[in-house]
Amino acid sequence: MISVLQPSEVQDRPIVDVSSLDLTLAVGLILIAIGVSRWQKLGLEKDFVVGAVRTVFQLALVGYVLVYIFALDRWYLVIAALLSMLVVATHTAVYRHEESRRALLGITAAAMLLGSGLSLLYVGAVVVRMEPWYNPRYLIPLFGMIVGNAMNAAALAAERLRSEMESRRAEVEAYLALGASPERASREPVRRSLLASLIPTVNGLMVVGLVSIPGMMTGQIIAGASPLTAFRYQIVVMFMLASSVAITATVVTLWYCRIFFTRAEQLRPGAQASGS
Amino acid sequence: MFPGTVRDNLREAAELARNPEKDLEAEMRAAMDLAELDRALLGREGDRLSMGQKQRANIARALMTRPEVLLMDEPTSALDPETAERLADTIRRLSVERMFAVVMITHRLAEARRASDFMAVMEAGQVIEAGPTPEIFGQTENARLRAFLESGRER
Repeated sequence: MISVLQPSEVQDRPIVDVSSLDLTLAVGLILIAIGVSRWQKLGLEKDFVVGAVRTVFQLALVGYVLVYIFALDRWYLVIAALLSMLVVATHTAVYRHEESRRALLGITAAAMLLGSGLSLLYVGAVVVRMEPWYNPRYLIPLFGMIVGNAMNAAALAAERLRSEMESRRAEVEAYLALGASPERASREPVRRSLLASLIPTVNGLMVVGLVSIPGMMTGQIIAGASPLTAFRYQIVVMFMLASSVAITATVVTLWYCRIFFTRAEQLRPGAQASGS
Repeated sequence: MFPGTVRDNLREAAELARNPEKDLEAEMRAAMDLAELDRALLGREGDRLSMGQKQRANIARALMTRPEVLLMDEPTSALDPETAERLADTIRRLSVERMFAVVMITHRLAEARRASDFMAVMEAGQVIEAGPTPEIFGQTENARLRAFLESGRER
């Protein structure tokens, strides 16, 4: 695989096309994942099947949609595409949460809009300076990458905060009892959930190029761009991921945290109190 | 307990209450003594204390805030009866010395009798009798309360 990436060979070797038969053979890989789910009784078999079918249809569809959006080149179509990506990401980030899903829906959407929006705005206006500003060729793939990462960070942050607030219930109540504000009382749970949601991004920065060859870079190279251009874009993308994930996770934790307290600064009765 | 040592816990409480005490270390030692906790435990991590030690450390921590009213929910439930009695005496003495009121919730009748001036007896979320402690333990017309006090005598 690595040898294909040599600049001198990019020009003279034809791109290997993936035929429909090849794709059918690739289904075998998903069967392995389904096998594991069945063996360990994870109950994820159906999710894997649905996920695999969705992967095929969504990627096929998005190919056509992108061609259409690129050709029409209208700013409102681009904005509509970005917003629908945000809606799907929000839904995915919260749907595994049983508790306070409604509140999380709004919080997550706002957090991702802020985190991804600001990062993309900065990149589009300052770093890459797109022409026109809504250039879908840049905006849509870039936004997709940052929203995807922000989505995982938001889901991780919310899940971790909920479990920290539960396991540290006695500690949080002790702070409140001694007159601390909810912000002070929940500082440790907030810190820990931020840490948990940011570590994957830090790890990503550490190993990029050594372990992971990111999708965007791979795509550009396979499409014939010089690895030297591709790597510059990838650096921008990695830094953009860091800022969007940091903003998103911070907004989610600080905002979600307020839901655990009443207006009178009491801790709401939760599922289970434990520890001391 | 908060993360960190017992000392961290007490200092945190003093900071939360904006306790202006200059000699915080001395006040911590005093609080430890009052709560009958070995001063050497100041340096120990909070999560390495026994339940009884934690309960006493919590009391020491509460004292660091210099409360005007101290609400205590079963403060001695993890202590042996003798220590619990001594602590009840200590809290009573403190409330007089440091001029604060104590509202204590307890299942121990002996403790209620020993520590309080005024008490309310609750059953199923309802106050069934309230008044000065000696009166409650003395004559009462309330049959349910009588039965309760009788049953508590063996405990």
